[in-house]
Amino acid sequence: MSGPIRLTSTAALSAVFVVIFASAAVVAKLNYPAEAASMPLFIGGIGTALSFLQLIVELRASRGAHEEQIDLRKDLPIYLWVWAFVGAVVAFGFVIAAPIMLFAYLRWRSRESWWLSVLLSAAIFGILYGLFETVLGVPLFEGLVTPMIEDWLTAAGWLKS
Amino acid sequence: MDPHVIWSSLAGLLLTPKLLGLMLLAIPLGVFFGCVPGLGGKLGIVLLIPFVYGMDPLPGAVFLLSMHAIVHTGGIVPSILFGVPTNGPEAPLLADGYPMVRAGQAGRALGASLSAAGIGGLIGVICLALILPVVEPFVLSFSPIEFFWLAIIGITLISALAGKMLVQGLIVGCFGWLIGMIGLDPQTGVQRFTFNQLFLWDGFDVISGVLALYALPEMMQLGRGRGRDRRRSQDIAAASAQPEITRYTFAEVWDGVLDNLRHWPLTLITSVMGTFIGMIPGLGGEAAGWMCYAFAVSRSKDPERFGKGAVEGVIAPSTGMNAKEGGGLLPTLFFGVPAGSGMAIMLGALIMLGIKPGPLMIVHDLPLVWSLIWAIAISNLICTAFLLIASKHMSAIAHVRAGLLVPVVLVFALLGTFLAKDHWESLLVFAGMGAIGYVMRRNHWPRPCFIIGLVLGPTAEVSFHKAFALHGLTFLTQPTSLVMMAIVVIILAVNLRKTYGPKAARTAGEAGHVAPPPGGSI
Repeated sequence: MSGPIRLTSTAALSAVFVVIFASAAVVAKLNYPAEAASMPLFIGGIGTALSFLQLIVELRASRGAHEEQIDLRKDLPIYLWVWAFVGAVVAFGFVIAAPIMLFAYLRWRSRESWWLSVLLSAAIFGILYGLFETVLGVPLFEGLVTPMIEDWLTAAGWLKS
Repeated sequence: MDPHVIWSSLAGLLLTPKLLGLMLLAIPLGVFFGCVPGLGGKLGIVLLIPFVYGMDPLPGAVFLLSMHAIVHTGGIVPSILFGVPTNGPEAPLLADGYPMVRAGQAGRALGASLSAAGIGGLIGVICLALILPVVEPFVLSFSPIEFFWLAIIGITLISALAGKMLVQGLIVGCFGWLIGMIGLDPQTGVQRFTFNQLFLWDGFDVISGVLALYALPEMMQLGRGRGRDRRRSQDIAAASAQPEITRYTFAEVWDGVLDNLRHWPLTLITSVMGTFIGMIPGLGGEAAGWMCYAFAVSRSKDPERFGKGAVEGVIAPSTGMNAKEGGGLLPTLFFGVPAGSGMAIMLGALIMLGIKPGPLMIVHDLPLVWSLIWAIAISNLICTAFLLIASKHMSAIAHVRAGLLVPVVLVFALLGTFLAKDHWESLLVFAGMGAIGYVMRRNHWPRPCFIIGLVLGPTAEVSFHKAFALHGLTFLTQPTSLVMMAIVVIILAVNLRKTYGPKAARTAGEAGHVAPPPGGSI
C-alpha cells in the first residue's frame, strides 16, 4: 500500500459519524441530568470510538484506492436534482412543485418524450390534488413561499380573499 | 386458542368489502413492485404509506402485508423469463430457472416456481398458526428484564446483518439508536436532541428514517446515469429480444404445477425450512432461498443436473423465499424484533398505523393477528392463481424504465415523509439523511442496521430503566439474564467466527480480496 493519504467518501463518512457521535455525547453531558444523559453518553462514546477506528482504517486504505474513485460528474447532478426537488416542495408545496419538478426531471434528466412527461406530471397532480386533497381530505404542505405570494396577490387585488 | 377468533377473522376479511377490496388492490401493486427492477417489498411499503395514512389499523395493516407477502412471487416472472433478478431474494431462481427457459421449458419453469411460491406462502402461515398456541404462554411470562435482553439480542444480530462490515454495521446501528433518542426522555421528561424544534419533540419516526436511508439512496443510485442507459433495463431488453424462448402454453404451465406434487417432500420440507429461517432475526429472503436451494442439491441423487435446468432447483428457493414471510411475522408482532429489514420497515408502518407490536398483542389484538395471518394466506393464493394465468402479460412490467421511476418514487417518498409527522421540516431531514444514506449505499455500508438500532434502541433503554427500578443492578445476575447474556455471547461469537474465522479468511483469500472495497474519493 503506497501513495498519499486521500479523503475518500468512506473516510469522509466515518469523519461525519465521529463528529455526530462526539457532539451528541458532549451535548448530553453538558445539558441533560445524569439519568437522561446516561444512554446518549454510552452510545455516543461507543459510536465515537468505532467511527474513529473506521476513519483510521479508511485513511490507511485510501493510499491504494486509486481505482476506486467515485465519479463526481455522475454523483453531483443527482444530488442537485434531489435537493432541488426537496427545495421546490418546501418553497411551493406538493401540489405546485411536485408536478413541475417531475416534468423537469422527466424531460431534461431522463430525456423522456414531451407527451409522456406531461402525462405523468398531470397524473401526479391528479393524485396529489384530486385524490389526497379533495377525495381523502388530507391537507398537503402548501409551501413557505406560496402563502406569501397569495397574500401579495390578494393585497394587490389580483386575487379575491 | 379460541376457534371463534380464527374463523371470525377469516369471515371478517372475506365478507367486509373494504378489506377484500384492499387485498385485491394490494396484489397487483405487490406484483408491480416485485416485477420492476430496483423496487421490491421494502420500497413498496414505504411508497404505500401515504395511502394508508389515517386508515384504521386493520385495513392499513392488511393492505401493506398483503402487498409485501407476494412481492417475491411477482419477481419470479422477470427473474425466470429474462434471467435478471429484480431483487435479491429471487437470485437463486436464476440458477435453474433461466436454463429451463433457454431449453424451451419457460412454461414449466414458471408453473413450478409460481405454484411452489404459493404453496410455500400457505405452509408458512400454517406453521405460524400452529406455533401460536405454543408461543402464547411463553410470551405472556415476559417482564422488563426479558424485554431488555430481547432488544439486546436483536441489536446483537447487527453482527449477522453486517457480515464482513461489522464495524460499519455497529456504527450505523449506534447511529440509529442515537436518532431513536431524539424527543422526550421517557424517564425524566427532559428534551433530548430536539434543539428546541417542535417537530422533534415526539421523536424521530421510523418511516422518515427508512425513507431517507432506503428509498432516497436507491432512487439516487437508479437516477445516477443519464437518459435511458440503465444496465438492468438493457439486460432485460436483451433477454426479451429472443421472444421464441419465452413462448409457452398453459399445458406446460400446468405441467410445472404438477412438478410440485411429483416432488412433494421437497416442497414441504423447504416450506417449513423457509418458515423457520424467516423467524430468525437477521436472516433475510436471500438466505432462505439459497439455503433451500442448497438443501435441494444435497438431497438429490444426481446433483450435477443443478444449474442446468433442474426443476427442483426452481421449486426449493421459491417455497423458501415465500414461506419466510409467515415466519417473519412471529418475532415482529410478538417481540417487536423485526426478522429482517423488510419486516423492520413493516414494523415502523404498523406503529404508524397505531398497532403496538409486543407480547400484549397476543392478549388484546388476537383478532388482528389472525386477520394478518389470513391476509398473507389469501393474497398468496390469489396472486399465484392470477400469475399462473397472466404471467405472460405481467412480464412487460419489467420493462419500466428507471428514468420514469425515479421522480415518481421521489414524490411519494417526500409525501410519506411529510405525512408521517405532518411537519415540513421532516423534508429537510429527509434530504440530509438521504445524502448520508447514498454515501452508505455507494460504499455498501449495511443500512438495515440503522433500522434495528432505531427500533430496538429505545425499547432497550426503556426496559433497562424499568428493570433497574424494579430490581436494581441485580437484575443482571438473575437466571433469565444470565441465560440471555449467554445467547448474546453465542450469537456474537458465531458471527465473529463466521466473519473473521480461518474459513472466512481462506474464502476471502481465494476470492482475491480480504478487505471490503474502499470508498471512492469525493
